[in-house]
Amino acid sequence: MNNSNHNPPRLATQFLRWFCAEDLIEEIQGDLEEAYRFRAKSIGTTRARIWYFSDVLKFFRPYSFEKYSRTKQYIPMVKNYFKIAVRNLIKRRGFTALNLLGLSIGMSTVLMLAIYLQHETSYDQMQPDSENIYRLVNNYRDQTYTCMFFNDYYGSDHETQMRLLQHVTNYEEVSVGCHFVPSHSSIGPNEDTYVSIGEKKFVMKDFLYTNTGQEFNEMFPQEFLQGSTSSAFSAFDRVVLTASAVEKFYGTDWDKLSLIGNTISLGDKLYQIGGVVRDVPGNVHFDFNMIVYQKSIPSWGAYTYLKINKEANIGNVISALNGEVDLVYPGYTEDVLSKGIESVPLHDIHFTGGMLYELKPIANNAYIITFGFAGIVILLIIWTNYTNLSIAIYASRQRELGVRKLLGARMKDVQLQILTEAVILTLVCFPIVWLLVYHGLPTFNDLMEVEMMREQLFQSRILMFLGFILVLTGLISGLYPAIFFSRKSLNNLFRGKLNSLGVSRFWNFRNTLLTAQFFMLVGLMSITLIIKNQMSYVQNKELGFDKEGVLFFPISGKENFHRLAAELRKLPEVLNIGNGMVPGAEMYNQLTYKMDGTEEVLSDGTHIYTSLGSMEVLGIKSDAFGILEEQDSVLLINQTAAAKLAKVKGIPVNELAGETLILEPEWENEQFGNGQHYTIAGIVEDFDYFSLKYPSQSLLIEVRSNPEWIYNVILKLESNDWLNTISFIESAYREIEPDRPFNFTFLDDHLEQLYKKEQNAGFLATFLTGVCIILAVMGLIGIVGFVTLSRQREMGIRKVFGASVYDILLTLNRSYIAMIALATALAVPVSLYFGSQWLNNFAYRIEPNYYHVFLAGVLTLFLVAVVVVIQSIRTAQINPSDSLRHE
Amino acid sequence: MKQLGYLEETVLLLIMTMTDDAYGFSVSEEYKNHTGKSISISAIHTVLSRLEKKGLITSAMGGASEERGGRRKRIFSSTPVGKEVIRTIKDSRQVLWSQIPDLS
Repeated sequence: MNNSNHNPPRLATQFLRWFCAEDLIEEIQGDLEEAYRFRAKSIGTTRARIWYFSDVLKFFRPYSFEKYSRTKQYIPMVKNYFKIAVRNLIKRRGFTALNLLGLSIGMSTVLMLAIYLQHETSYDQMQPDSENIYRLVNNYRDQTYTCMFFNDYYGSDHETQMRLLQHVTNYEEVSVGCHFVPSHSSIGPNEDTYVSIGEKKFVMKDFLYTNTGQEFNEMFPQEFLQGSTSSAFSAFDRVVLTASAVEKFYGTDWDKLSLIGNTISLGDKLYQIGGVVRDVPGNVHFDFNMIVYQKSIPSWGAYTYLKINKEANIGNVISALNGEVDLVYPGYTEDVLSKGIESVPLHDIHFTGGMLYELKPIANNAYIITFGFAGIVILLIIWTNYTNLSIAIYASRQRELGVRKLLGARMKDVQLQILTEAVILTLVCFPIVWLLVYHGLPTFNDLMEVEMMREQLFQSRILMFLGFILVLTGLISGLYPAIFFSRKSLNNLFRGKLNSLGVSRFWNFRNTLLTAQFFMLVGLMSITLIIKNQMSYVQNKELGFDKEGVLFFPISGKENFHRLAAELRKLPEVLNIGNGMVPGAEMYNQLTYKMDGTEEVLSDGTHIYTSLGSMEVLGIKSDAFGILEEQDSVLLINQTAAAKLAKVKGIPVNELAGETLILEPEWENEQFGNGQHYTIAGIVEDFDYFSLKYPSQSLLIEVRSNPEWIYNVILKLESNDWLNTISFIESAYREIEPDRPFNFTFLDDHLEQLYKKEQNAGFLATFLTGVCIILAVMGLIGIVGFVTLSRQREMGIRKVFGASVYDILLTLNRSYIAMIALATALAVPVSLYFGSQWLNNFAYRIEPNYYHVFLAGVLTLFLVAVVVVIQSIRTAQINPSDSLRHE
Repeated sequence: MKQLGYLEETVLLLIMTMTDDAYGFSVSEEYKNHTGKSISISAIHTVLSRLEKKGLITSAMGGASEERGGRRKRIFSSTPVGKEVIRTIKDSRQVLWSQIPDLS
């Protein structure tokens, strides 16, 4: 008889089994099959099959579904599951502790990353109607300035400073406009200030200067703890302090005092306290300790913001403004270098790179993606780990499951039990994870230089996210064992040997998961190695100047500089004194230049105004310095500029000296006709004036023996007693500059600061790798213990046939070697891709290499071998007679 | 007094006649033989469960057989209540029968 016709159609049967209640299936299927056979004999198989289909379809109705089923003895034994789960967790104390530890560390990391990503992506979202706020930016030459300038620059009076805002707020689309300058921005005064209250004197920084206080508060509302908008901004020369500034001045009990109207002096100027506000959250694109509301802003320009009405279109406002720009800035349209005003939405400020003078470091999308990716990787590792571990646990609990089934538990009951147990374990983690993150947040803030608030952790959003992700983790880790063990027949469960899980097959589910885990581990580790190598490359690269023992600090003006220099020359520790150029600058405005007698104008020149002293401090040498004995200044260019100019002029580089260079040729003047004419005195070797993130720029260095414009002091020191030397310098400084705090920086610290963000990424990557290693090791301990146990007898037999302890260990390790090799091979392209993405931050960079990934692979292998050997050495040493007598 | 529909009454009667061998398929076959109308197995199952809920029949799992693919059947038998109900129906019908004048 044809077998396929002998049985009823399988498709229909499967459908029936899928929808039919478990306790009805036997009788229904039996009846249908009997009917099928009966009909097959009487009317033929074909028609019987059709009948069978129709019968099955007719059963597809509520009667057959679970809740209508005949026997309603089913009571979910959830209480029992809890009891058994808790007993099991307590019974395997060590295992549970290991599980909890791994889970908590991993989950805390995931939560921390989630909060960090939320923080980074939530910049400026909290301002009311933030989607209607725009910042005005100005295009000049080839660069975009994040601030607008005032018509008379530094010399602008109040009316001139307000001219742009007054013009723009006349448009009916614009509801408010404000501008400000933070003191420590690129365009601010950039120096620390003495703040005195009564007798007490403090060194303070981060002031926000504005003369549009009301408007500022309307656009970026501050929460007043004392005072109000009217007390703060009703008259000029008021200051608004943040809570932490007030705490510094008045102690923690400040809220018992009434501070409004108190007098406070900044430097030598008097102000009234107009209000106390809450600290600025970390995810705002500006920061301040104090708002200084005064008639004019101490800068040549200001960061300018507009808020437009809901229905208005910013494009119209900007084009109207550009159309009438000459009313605000006379001569703007005639100036070929001014390329128009644009706007940047408030939400985009934190993500818009490539503009000059941004207030805070912008978010790096590569980082956000990388850290998001790392979070997912850790989550995947946790999931694979706990799937693996729970398979191992239930493999040794098969008899228990068997008894349950024997006593009437259905597939669903077993699944429910396994899932309940898994979720209980993960939910136990909830308070642990929360507390870990709560206490770890300040450290994380310090490390990553962000200001995330602990209050965030109380938000229901965060709590729900944590709960959701933990329950999900429980469900996912229990899913495979739940399906796998609930489907096993009673017989198999009772006979349940540990190795009935297909351990003999190499590419079983568990080993696939392990390989995936090794892949992620190797990937993350090799990216960390790449980051570390690049950072040490950056730190050790020859910069082309001397950075050891170089110290610099601000000073006001020529006269003070010379008085101080005279004092400092008495110190034997001071080798050189100069002023001007300090390497490690952020990019600033570039200017145009060309060779005399050629047409092509280059626009990427960086002009440096410095003293001969600073060149000596930095150890930059040139033959041209000799000329300075006869004349006031020389112009040097670096090799990058020389190469470009030589190409334009069509002469070899070494013939450039003596040629005439014109800076800003579009500027018409009486002295030269066009631009400013210089004679190239010499060429200096390239040195890294900017951060290594940027490629070498064309430097046009104006070196003066006695500069007119002096704003800092730069010293080369050699000392055996730094503390003493510096305190001597400080006391000399105090004599000459009584109103300015002595705020010095060592050049090597300053250079390191340039890579702070990259350095932080390195820390975070190392930390994440550490977490992954801990998780992987914990997972391995569980798995290896289980596998060696299940292979105990095999090892016994091997020993009987003469295998040594070493052979046994090798056998146990062999499979991991294969998995790690595969994982490393898979990690190569992924790591190299992400590694080079990160390296793109740098113009000077190492090449990511296979070597990094292989090193990571070898490290992983070593780690795994150690874990396996420790876990299995006992099995390897066991007397075969013991392990074989097992049953 | 339990209300019984025509189908329920017939099935209950059939079960009583089929001592010890009344299960889904056999009842549907008997129904066909007796009334000449075919009925789906699912309809029979529904009726059986309804009767069981009303307490007129009871059931227990019986023996397996080859043609059922080794599956057991659910054997139904009437309860005393079921018998009582059938008797009441018969009696009330009997009264009516006897009052028909021209039924030869």
